[in-house]
Amino acid sequence: MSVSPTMPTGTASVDHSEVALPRPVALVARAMSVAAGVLLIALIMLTVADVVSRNLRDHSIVGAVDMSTMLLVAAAFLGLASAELDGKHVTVDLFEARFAPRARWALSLLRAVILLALGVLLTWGLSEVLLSALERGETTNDVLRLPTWPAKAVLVVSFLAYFVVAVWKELRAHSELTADLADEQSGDHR
Amino acid sequence: MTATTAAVLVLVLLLFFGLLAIRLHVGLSLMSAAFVGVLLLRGTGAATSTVASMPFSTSASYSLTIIPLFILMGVFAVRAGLAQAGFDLASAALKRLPGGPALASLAGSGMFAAVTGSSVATVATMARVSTDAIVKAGYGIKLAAGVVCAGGTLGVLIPPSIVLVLYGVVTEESIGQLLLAGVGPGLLTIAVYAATIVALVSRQRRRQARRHGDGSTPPVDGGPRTSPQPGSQSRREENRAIGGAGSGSGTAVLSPSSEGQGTAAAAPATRLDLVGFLYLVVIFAVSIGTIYLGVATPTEAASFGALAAMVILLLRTRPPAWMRAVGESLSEAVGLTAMTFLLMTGAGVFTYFLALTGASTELVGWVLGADLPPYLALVLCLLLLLPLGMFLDGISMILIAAPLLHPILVGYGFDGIWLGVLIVKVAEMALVTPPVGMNAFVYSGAVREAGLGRVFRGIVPFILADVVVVALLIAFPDITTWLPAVSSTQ
Repeated sequence: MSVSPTMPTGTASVDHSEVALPRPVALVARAMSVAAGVLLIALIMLTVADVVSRNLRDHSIVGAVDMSTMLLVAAAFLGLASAELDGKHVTVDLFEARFAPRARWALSLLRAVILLALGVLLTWGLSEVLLSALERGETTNDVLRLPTWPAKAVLVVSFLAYFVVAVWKELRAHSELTADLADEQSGDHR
Repeated sequence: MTATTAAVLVLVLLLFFGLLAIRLHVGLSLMSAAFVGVLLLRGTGAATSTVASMPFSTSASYSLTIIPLFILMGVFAVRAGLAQAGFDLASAALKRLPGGPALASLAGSGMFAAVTGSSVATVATMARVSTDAIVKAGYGIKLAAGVVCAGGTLGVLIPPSIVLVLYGVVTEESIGQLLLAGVGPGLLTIAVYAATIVALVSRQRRRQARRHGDGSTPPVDGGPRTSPQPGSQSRREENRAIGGAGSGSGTAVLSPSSEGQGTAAAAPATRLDLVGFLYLVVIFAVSIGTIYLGVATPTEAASFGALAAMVILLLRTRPPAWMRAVGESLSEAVGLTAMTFLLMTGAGVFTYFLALTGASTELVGWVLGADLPPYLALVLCLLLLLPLGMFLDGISMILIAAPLLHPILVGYGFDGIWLGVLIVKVAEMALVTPPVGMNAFVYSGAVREAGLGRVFRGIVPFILADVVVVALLIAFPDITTWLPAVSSTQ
């Protein structure tokens, strides 16, 4: 459960809504979550094997620390998209519930724009970081000299997928608010 | 700091709170505000590369592997029904005590919070079910609100505490020692909260008894006990909670008949998944015991804990459901991990921006230069945390505030481990303190009939209890430091 503490009015909601995403996007998000789970299991096994090896054979697995670190980088953000998709955020809303529908409509649009801008920024920036790691043949500092680009490639994909889901969700919410607004206006005319 | 830098700093802070106000994720709010700040001070190129390099530099650290491992351990344990087993056992064992359902809810919230590491999430999850149980037993909703909101704050001290791990990461204090240091204060908090509940309930009973006159049975579950056994049990509990001052008399009232009562009460408890509770003890022993004995680093201990929890989950699930149980646990743990790292990435960019403005060093230098009496500096720093509870949950507060408060207070001569426990404890207090504590808002959102005013009134006794705990922790540093001191961990 992710907690995204925002501002309070005494109202809080746990948003359990599954957002209807285009099927391929949802599938990709789920697949990334499963991949992250597999990486975490590998992380557990590697650390346990390392301790066992140290006690039985009296020496550690070569490069276990390096491998663990790269596993962590790859697994850390892979679950972002599916966590956003499940949307189990506890949001506490101080102002918005009291706002007029039009103001809420505008805020939702603003959020969508900010999320889109951040998504573009990070996807572009992380790709640059990935390309530079590839060009320089960047590796870890330990004995194994593991290349860092695979983990960095996973970061690009993780953040891209996260922002696709987040922007999509916000746009859906926005279009619902637009519909509400239209309803209200037609109600006024009647 | 030049006037321009100061203006940029103010702008970034306003932007951060503005973004939080429009309900952007706190990690993204930190990241965006700090991005604008770096952009204004150093240009687009520097700002982009700062933000883009942060996810890798935040997560590429071996000591952080402990975070997903602890999360996995907790999720597996909850999925295996171990927290439920503990909660049921607590309910059965405490049923006959005054305020039994409230004590059980306290235990339940504490366990859930220990597992999830977030008291806000705990309150959101536990509010409805705990309140129903407490109100059904005849107690007021104010008591329920206090118990749930305060119970959520227990988890940060009881291992495995992700908040303490993060404090260790940002201040470079020993994570193993921090985890052990949380144990004493965690137990103390439980004892003081339990004593608070018992005191509140006894007062309510006395009032009701007066209203109903002597002899009539008040409609409260387990009203004033006239039978000797449960009475002696409750007195025993009070003695224990208050600190064993009267433990001699407590043992004296333990008659053979009350022991008989004890075994009778234990019988349903066996059916109540005693094995599940024992598993919980095993996981705790594997993860914290090995750190204590110094045979494993915290990361290794967390791996063994996570593996043990997974094996227990498999043992307690029928083989056809294995894939589903493990898969769903993994998916939840992966999501929690990702959101925690997103928060850390945002906090990383923000901390970099603060360092760039020189605000952090100037603040530290200024407070140290003021040469305050050390304990005054300590109390002022801790008080600064309270308003943050309006905007931020415990983890975010620690990520932002600890890098500033730690150097100041270590400079005043305080121990970094002891400080960590105090800072984390007070950061959690900030989540329940009126008028802005976030837990209270979350609670009144989940339990609509409660109303914010009543929630805060219900919390007040627990805040007083917290003040007592913090005062004890400051007055007797041994409560915090004895366990790390006697252990073999570094």
